Amino acid sequence: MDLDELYRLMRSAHVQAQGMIDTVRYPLLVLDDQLRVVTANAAFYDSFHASREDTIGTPFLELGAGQWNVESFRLLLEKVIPHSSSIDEFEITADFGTAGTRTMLVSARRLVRPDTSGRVLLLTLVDATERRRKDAESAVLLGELQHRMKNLLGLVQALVRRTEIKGRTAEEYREAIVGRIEALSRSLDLSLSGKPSALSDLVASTLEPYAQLPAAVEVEKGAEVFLTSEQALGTGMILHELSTNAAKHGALSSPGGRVRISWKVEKDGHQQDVVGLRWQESGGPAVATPTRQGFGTQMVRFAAAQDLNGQAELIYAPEGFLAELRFPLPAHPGTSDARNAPADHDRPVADGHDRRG
Amino acid sequence: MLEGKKIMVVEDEALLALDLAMTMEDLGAAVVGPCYRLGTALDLVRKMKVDGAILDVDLNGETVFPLARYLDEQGVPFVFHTGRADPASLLEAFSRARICTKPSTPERIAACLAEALADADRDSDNENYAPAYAQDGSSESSQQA
Repeated sequence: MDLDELYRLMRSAHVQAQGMIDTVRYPLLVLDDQLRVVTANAAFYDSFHASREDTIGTPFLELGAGQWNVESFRLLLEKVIPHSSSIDEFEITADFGTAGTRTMLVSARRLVRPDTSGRVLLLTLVDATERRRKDAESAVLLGELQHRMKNLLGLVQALVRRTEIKGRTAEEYREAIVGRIEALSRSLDLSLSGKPSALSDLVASTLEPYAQLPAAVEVEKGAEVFLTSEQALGTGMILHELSTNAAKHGALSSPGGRVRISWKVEKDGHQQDVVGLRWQESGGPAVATPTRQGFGTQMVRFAAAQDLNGQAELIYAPEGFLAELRFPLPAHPGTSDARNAPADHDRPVADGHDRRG
Repeated sequence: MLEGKKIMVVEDEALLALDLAMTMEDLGAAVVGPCYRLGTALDLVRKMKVDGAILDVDLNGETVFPLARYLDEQGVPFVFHTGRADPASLLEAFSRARICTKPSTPERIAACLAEALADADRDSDNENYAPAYAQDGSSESSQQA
């Protein structure tokens, strides 16, 4: 019910004004022309922990512990309301003593009492502190979301730009780029789930396309490792690059070829726990060290350095390609701590970064 | 346009850093970095002089502003590459900075940085040989044209 409706009802001689006032969900006061409380509703007593005895007949500014007696309320009651027929959701933020800083939305109607022809003021007081706080939180979240979306578009753009076109048909290019975007999406699913991502889940989901080759892919699970969101993203992209490369040129490209994936947690030279993940291929075509590093290989190195805060070693042994990833075991998986760790694998390269590693 | 220039790349997304670094190299620039963290970038830039920089604004919960201030003091031109919702507000603190919103192609960022380098060159020439207002006047008329 809005104030105008209430006003119409109150003008009717046949309604119980107090009954009507009590149906209003928001705290409501009726003040006389001296700003003393004539009537208050149940919501007012509830919201402001006020008793009827202390309220009725008391000047508004002296209610409670005097928390309404602040400059902005005095201004509203003494200067603004006398010159307006109605006030809608006038926002007042003030220090309410023990209740702290609150934001109130004040609405007011001046009206003539039908019984005595005296002037009264209807006042509703809505505590919008929570609502305002949630609005502010939403604005922050929205900004963050926008930031992430643009970042994600940037990642997709980089993938589209850097996926090889030379010597490929459009169909082959499309297949490669879609594969990379799917890997990005799978990794994001895991890293944005809000739960720490288990390395074994990541390995299983990345290798899912090769599930029809059960003899070719062997996963030897080590101690379960939970990754930060950045580590999950990076590991997902790295495993995708390794598996597509194996399917195209390596062990998964020929019958009898095998990939064995294993990991363990060990101590590094500083007694820190590090995760060592091995991707070992065997039984595939003869391996030769590539003459130039493609984007995929560089991506493995960059993602290992940045997303994992670790490093990748790629060994083109004649009997089979071997990739070894080493990165710190996250202390607080599911958070972003890996990138903020003091260990630092940024490469201070002054004369162009090394494409041949 | 960036041949032979030492360009620092600061970007915490590995893929974007890689794309940027590869593009800068293709354009003949020497890449300093890429740096993923503010501390590394600051250490590096204090040790060696760079000709220009591409700066992602938000780096793992840190902002790149301390580095941007340092570069500003040294007169090194830079481009902010950012996905922030209000990129224009960056100009309040860094009036000479250029801004490329994410996602921008590395070529676009390179062009933006090349302009910033050219501007910086012209400014330093002006300080030596010409009164500052002459530069102001000419840029105004070219904007109107």
